[in-house]
Amino acid sequence: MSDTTQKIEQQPSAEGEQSFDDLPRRKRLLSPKQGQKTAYIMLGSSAVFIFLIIAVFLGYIIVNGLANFSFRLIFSPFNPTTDLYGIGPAILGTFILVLGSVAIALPLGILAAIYLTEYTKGGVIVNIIDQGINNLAGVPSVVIGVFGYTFFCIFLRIGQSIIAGWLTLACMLLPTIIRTSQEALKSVPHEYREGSLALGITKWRTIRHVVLPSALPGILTGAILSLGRAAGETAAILFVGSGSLFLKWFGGFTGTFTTLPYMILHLHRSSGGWEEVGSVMWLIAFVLMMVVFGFNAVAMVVRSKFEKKRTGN
Amino acid sequence: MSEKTNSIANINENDTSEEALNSTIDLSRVLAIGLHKTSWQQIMLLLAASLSVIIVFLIFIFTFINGFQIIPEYGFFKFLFGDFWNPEIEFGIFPMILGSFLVVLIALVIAVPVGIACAVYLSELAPDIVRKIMKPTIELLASIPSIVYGFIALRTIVLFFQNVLGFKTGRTAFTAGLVLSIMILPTIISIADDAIKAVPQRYREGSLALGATQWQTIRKVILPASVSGLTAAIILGFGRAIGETMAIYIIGGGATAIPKPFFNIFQPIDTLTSLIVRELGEAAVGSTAYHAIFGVACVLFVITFVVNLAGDIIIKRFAKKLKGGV
Repeated sequence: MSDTTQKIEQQPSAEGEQSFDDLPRRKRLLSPKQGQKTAYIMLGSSAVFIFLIIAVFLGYIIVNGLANFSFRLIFSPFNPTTDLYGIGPAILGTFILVLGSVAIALPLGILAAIYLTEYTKGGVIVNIIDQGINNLAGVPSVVIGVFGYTFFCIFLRIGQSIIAGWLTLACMLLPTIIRTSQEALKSVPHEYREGSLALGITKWRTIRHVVLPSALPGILTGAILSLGRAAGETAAILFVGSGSLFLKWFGGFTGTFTTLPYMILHLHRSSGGWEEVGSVMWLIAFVLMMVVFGFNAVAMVVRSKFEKKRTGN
Repeated sequence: MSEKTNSIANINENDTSEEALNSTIDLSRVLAIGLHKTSWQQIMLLLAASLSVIIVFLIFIFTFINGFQIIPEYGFFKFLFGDFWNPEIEFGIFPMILGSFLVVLIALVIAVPVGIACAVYLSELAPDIVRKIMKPTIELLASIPSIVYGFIALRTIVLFFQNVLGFKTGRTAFTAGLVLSIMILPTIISIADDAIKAVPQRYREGSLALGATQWQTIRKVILPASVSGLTAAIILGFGRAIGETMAIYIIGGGATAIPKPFFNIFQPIDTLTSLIVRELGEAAVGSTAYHAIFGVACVLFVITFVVNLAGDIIIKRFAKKLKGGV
């Protein structure tokens, strides 16, 4: 016992002496101050690097997209006799697809989020549900596509159609919508709920008339963000009804559909992605990016307005 | 006297019984209303909430019942470790497994240092204005569709490798990994950022109070304290990368044989995901090729499921440790 205490007492002083003696012998490449400076330059440059990547990337798309821009192509369907590669049906198809899938996923996602934030306080079932949501978010989109093909198209006999596309994409969007809705519900102050409950209003009515309306902008932000995500999705909808339907505007609810990303893939496959249809592909990439960024921008505006209102309160 | 007490007792008894009766009626009515009001709503909410679990379960069941038939039809080891794929006769997916891991490894080698450096910079050092610019920038990076990445890379990096650096083809494991690294940066940055932010302020203050510089604090205190969170960032980045499809399909080159030597990263490769995209459209429902493709989907599902589970468990433990740690 006394030995150990002695050791403990001795050790720091011994070590201190040693390191003090060592100090002149140990060569430092850089002083701590210089080291800090170099490290910070490297850390900062990683951020600059990322910023440059996206700037070059976007610049490249915008420059090439504008160089190949044509209203005629945007507003007309593909015409094989005149070789006019119109992308109108693809734009329309993209919007129909994403609006439908979010319309399916949003109510389900909101209900799930209400259950997880308002009705539970942990427990095994909630843990399982939580983990299930995380795992669904992690399933690769191509696997969701394969699942959609075998489950919706073949097993449920829906066939390759826009309905199968909606359902498949809804599966993919559900986790994102649940998570963003949960965030929005959590950000509603507790006083709102307590005030309503104190007036004798039932929990369900409190949620419906007090909590949901004030969480709505946050939920909406999540929904719009997932619209953008769905618009760019290719792998998930590839097998459930994407068809090269560039001639007609809309193929009906049981017919195949076409979207902008699918059209890029189709042209890439049929031409090897090189020069013949290059200008059309640039235009599609440009329009697709504008659609995605448009959704993101709207979401950001909604969110900032929402936050301003919150902090104002 | 006795009568009085009796009557009092009686009254009391009556009172209590009445009160009890009233309260039980009230309680039962309240309960009944409560039960009636909440039960169907709660069941509906629970159903909606468990839909995600049901979908994950269905995905597994439906890829499995189609995919496992490749085992009797072709053989488990021949399927997983066979080195040749030909949609008519041969269904060995080992080249694709190798390709997937090779591409993901390249992507992680590039994206992990850059991503963590960026996360450290943004959460510890960056001035407010930089953070306000970088946050949406990274969100923007995450929102770019996979196929647009592939298309742009085909016209930039791939052409650069072919025309400027003189490679026979620019569609190689390396170019695919390079593009993939950019695609998983947002995932890594946002999770690493959360991990670093979760380190309690007193750790920093303690270190600075001992005379350490800010960089020493970051390197010796903050990074070690957040190491499990950073591990989770890498693991979830891996999970995101291995499931990435369209960009790799376009840039990977689609070579269904093992490159020689297998570590040569400047040769065309194929991944599990792009194999599915390429082959499923052509396979007849119920054929061996069809079952092989579902087998691939099953393998992918299992990999990502395990990876995500591991990442989530690490994050949860990390959060608990930081909360419990003194």
